[in-house]
Amino acid sequence: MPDRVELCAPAGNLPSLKEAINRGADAVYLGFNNDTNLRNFPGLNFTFKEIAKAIKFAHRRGKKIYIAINSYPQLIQLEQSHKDIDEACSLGADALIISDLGLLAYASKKYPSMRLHLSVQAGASSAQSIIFYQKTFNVKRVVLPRVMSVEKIAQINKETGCEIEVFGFGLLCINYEGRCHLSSYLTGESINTYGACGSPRFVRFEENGENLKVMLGETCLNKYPKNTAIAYPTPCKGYYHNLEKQGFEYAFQNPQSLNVLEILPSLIENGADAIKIEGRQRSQVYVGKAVSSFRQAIDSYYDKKEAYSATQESNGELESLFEGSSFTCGCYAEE
Amino acid sequence: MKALVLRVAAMLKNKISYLTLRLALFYFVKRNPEAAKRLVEIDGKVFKVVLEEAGNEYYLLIKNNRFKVIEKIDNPDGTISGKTDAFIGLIRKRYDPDELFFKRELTIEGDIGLVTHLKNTLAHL
Repeated sequence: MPDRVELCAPAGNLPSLKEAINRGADAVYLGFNNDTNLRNFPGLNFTFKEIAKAIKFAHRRGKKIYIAINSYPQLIQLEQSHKDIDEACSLGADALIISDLGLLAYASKKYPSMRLHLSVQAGASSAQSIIFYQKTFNVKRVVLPRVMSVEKIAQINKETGCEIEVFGFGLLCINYEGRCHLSSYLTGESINTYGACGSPRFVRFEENGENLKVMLGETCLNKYPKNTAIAYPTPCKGYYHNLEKQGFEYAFQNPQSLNVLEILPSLIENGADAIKIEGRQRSQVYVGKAVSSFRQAIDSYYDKKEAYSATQESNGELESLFEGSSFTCGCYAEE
Repeated sequence: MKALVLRVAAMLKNKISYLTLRLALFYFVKRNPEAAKRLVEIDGKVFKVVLEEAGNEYYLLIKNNRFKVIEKIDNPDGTISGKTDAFIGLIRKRYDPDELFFKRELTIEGDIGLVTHLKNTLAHL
């Protein structure tokens, strides 16, 4: 591992990838433009040719490309997943990010020298589970769910010795990734099979002058009064009627974004080897701002150590990108 | 006289925004033939673009991997509305589209899957 924590940025297209690398990302993660990855939004992601260009661009600058093939394929999708693993390896990816046991078996057997990262979608959150993946598939890094405390991360680091990647910025998923079926329940499509929760094709926005009604399938997720900020139309951010309390509430989570700048030193000192920025669905502008802020913060931590503080400037730059009205350190800061 | 100047200024602003839009779309296809291939997946779809404060509407038809500005139709597949500054900010890469969406400075209606497709395809520029 490098002597500084790795900054791992998202890219849904070539301009974002170039922006990420030019602004200081050490690695960029991306996916093919099909349902083998979990940001399978229409028009997003990379063709084979674009991935080849991306790898060339990154490697010339000494940066890494990780390819996410992290859906749980159904039988009909299996051939495509195998093909994507083959292509990613033939193109020279630096690592594959996988969650499915069958795909891990395929990749580790066919490409024993390929570096494997365990996707957050595997929901591995205990030392025992991670050790299983290390021993069985020679997994080198685990991407931890966003629901773990720093204390727990330190414990896993100590017990497994596995490289640890944590989410540092972006959407705050409150569920153990890979185990959430809310979207399936409302639309019949799950993020784990089709690659998007609250798939856009099920979303309807109905404006009636007073309110903006947001529908996902046949379920109303929210009615926003005029001029109020809105959130992504995902089931976990629905404002539902609670029959017991006789009122509306965010039953699962308030729309808030994750931002760990304030606790960055603690995450690094407790075992994080890589900080991941969420958001392959976002634009080049988002990627550029997020990467710049985190590059500056990481360098500032190593250069100043004791004097590190999340600057107003960095937070201010990031604030405009937030979903919801505020940010949070989420579960990381919990005891 | 003042009213006439304001009218001419408004007309010029509308013309400029129209030309900026056409130019941006032209260059998108010209500079990104690989990315423009994705438009085949939304071939034949029509998107209405509304510049709110100017009261202008444009109808974009996706045809043969290209954008064509067409006459008004009754049922476009998707609608994207916002202020001229929001669109110019997007074209000039000052704003992130989702950031404008959260703040409701950019609103979308119709088939959200198709609008998302268009947004993501344009992001390859």
